[in-house]
Amino acid sequence: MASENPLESIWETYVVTRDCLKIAQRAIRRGHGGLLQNTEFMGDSPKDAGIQIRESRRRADESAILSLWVVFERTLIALLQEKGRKLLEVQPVSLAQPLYEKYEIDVEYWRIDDSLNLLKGEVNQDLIGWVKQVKQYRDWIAHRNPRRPQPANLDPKTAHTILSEVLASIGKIRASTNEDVRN
Amino acid sequence: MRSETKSRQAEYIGRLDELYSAVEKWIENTGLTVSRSSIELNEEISGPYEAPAAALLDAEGKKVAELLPLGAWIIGAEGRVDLVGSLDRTSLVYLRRGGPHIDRKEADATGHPEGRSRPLFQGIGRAGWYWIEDKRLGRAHPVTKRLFLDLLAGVSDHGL
Repeated sequence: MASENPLESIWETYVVTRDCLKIAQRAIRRGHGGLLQNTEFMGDSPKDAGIQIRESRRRADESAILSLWVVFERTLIALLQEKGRKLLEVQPVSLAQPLYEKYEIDVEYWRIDDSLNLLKGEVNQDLIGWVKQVKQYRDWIAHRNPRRPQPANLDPKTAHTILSEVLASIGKIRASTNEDVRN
Repeated sequence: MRSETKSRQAEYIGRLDELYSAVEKWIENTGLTVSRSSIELNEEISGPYEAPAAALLDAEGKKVAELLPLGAWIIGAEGRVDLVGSLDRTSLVYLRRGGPHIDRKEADATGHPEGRSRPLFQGIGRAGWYWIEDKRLGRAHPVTKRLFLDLLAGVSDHGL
């Protein structure tokens, strides 16, 4: 059965990438030249190839965090847009549609901290605090400024765990909404 | 620097030293030795400071892997050090007893919301260095001699 966690495909891709890099590094170290045929490694020294692989691994870690964040943020925005559909019930009807359309667009530009704060009634505050730290780290990766010190650090595994926890809560919020509507 | 910041930084450095001392014992009779050094970390909260690092060397003095500190201010943990080999790298994190918890409002049997708390990571019986397993998400394993040697083999093929 397919996972309902939208982060799983990113996580699985990251794990496979990581393992492929490890296999490539092992092939180079053990001198299995045949395995390297028709690859960019041909013609490189084992040392240079190793440096490239280690650098690629670092970038894979960073890309995983960036990708996990993009999907997480999109899911959060989708939740807020879904919740905002109540605006379509506003009277008069002629106001409802443009009001919702305005809300739907604006919500895309809200500061992520403000959007996260809206979840405080349903999601643990510590968890929300960690998500904000994930965002800070994500920003540090994306806009890397060598003069700026590193914010609280995390690895892709922790980012995946924390963001998955909040997405599980978002799933429950969505489910409860549907129940409310049916009742 | 605030005393709280200084204290966390000192605790982190102390915990790294403890880990490296344990590693020195774990690798006895494996033909490896530990060579200690230090690297500069620059964290937003503390600013730059020196943290201890350690390299694991084989009998010929060639580096098999290294323990590289990443920082004391870690999301969901109280310190991180990466075990970096020629093939791969893996993270070890310092967690307090029980580890970080998540409080959640869940409905009880009568449907009323009830505050519940559960750990973010399973298996944290005491404070110490842990490795978070990939496959069973969220399961933390204390770093023991056996686990460390397995992780070392995983990142470097040493001992395989």
